[in-house]
Amino acid sequence: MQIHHHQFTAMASPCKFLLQGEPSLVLNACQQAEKEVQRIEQKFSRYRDDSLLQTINSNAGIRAVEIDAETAGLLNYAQFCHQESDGLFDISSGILRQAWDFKAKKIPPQKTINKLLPLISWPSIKWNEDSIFLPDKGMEIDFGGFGKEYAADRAAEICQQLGIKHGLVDLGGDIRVIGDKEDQSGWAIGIRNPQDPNNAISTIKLHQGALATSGNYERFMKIKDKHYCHILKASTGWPVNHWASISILAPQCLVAGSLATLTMLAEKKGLAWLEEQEVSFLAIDIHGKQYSNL
Amino acid sequence: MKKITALSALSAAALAIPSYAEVAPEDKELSYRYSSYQEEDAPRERTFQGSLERYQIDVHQLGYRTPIGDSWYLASELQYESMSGASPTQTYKNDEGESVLLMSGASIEEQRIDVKVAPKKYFKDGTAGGLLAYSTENDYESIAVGLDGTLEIFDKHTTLIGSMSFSDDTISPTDPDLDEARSAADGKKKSSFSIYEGVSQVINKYSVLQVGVGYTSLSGYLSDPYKFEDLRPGSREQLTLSANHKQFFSVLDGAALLSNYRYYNDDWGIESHTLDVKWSQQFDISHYRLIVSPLMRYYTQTQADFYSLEQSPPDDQFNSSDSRLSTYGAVTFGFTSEFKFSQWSLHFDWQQYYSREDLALFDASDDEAPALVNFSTFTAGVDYQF
Repeated sequence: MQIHHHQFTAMASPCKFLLQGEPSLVLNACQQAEKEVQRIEQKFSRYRDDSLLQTINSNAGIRAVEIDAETAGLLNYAQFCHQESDGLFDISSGILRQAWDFKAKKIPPQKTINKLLPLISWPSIKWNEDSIFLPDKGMEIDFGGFGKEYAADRAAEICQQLGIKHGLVDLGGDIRVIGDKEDQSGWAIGIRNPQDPNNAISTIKLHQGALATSGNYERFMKIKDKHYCHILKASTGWPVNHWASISILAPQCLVAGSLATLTMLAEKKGLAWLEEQEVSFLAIDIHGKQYSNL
Repeated sequence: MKKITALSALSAAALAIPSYAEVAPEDKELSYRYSSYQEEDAPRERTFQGSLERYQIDVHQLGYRTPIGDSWYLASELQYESMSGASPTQTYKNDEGESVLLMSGASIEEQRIDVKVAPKKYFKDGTAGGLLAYSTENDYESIAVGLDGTLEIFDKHTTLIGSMSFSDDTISPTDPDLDEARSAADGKKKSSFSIYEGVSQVINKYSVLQVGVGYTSLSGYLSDPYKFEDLRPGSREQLTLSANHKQFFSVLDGAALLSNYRYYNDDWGIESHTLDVKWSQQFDISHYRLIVSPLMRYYTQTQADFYSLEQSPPDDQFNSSDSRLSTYGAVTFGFTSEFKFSQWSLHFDWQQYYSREDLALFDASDDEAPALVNFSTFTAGVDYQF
């Protein structure tokens, strides 16, 4: 059966849905699922003044902001990520962007980083299922660490609810399968070569579940042959520098993405930790050495 | 013992993110319905005078619903009704113990226009809504305002529901000079106040129960100026208790059994019981969805204290021979259906209603009520979401 391609841009990434099914069913699913991705972007965008996230951040040090059950669910999820990473993953670490400007290709002075570190403190944030309060002025949170993966899951679930049985959601490389191809041949997915991101280092056939990759090539700068990537440790404010890319297969895209990011953050210890998780992965270190159980 | 891995902890936390945060509907919807209501003729052998042809009503309904901002939703409706036919003016018992029916003569031709606007605000744990309605026809004018709200508690398993409304009506019978009762009613007011409190409880994944209590107080001119010897009290207090149960079944592509019981009591002496049963069956045929719901309703009531078939009752005594105030029972059979594809949905409903003296379960009497009516309604409509 023919595969319908639906492409759009959201969350600063090229997005696509590949769906099989009756045309009117497919078109309706594309429309509703894209709407869902946009809803999540609008609600949790750092860049939009009218987003819930902006309201939370602009009230840092001022007052608690009321949140809904979905936001509380995501905060609870962030809490688990913080716990599992021994604090290396922290949704209040986005503030480090003020120091790290990858376009300027300049390493920030330690003094600048030191000034920001006290503002990175997930444990000091007061939240419950009804509200959140960032205690200090200047503190910020964002869901950049897993928002796109969450949206991929939601878009796929919407498609399932609307009767789509065969399809795939791809939000800038964060992939969630709705259901296997109709002929059960699996969806062929290329994993980028971190040395040469426009080419695949490996191709896998995905029948179900999700695939997410965290790589040091997404935003980075190279200074004096040293690679500085956008994945920053909340504890030091400095980039990780052990893995070039981590790809994970898991039932949910949200979980696959977080496991990949957490492995990047754990650096050398990441491999042993990953092996404990009983998930399929492909890890490539900065020297190009591959570790995989795929 | 299996150790708790990050995978299982994160998977559990991911699954705990509610996938249905209560949000205002995001689609606009335009809808149109045409309904035809047709009463059966009055019985020839009991009709002493007037036309046998009872009401025929055509209804055109246009609806538009739209989100406003992130959390508001506005529903609006315009309805046009045209009505023709004759209505009963009196029923009395003759010397042979038979009931004689008097019908109005010339066929009535009337139009009615209704306008309704209902904004609703969606909150994290519930909704708050308002209602403004206006209705006009040549002999009647009504304006109504209402407030309603819901509050979800206990993890959204329990919903508290409340509403209240107030209406103010003005009566201006046609040709008031024709009849004393009509001129007496001209310009008279009638008002009503209603309040409802309910609670809806999710029992399990497959079943939901809602119970509620409603109270309505009517006051003003409550008699029917078009009927002879019709003099009713100037107030009426009504109480209803209701219970709705919804049970889902995985029959074919999904089904639900909806049962509803209602008890009603008022200070005119009327007591009634209503039992509704509806089976909603869903069929998914490739990308089309068909929902067909056969339904059945049984109704029984006892008569008002001042209901009588006396031909000339004393003028200062409450009296009415309106069959809707008599002891009777009624059954309804029918179905509703909905056919959905992409943004469209088509509706087709049909119902047949029979009412008779001997269908009454309580206090049945031998008195005939020939004005009791049988009718059928059918509705065809279309919704478009965009």
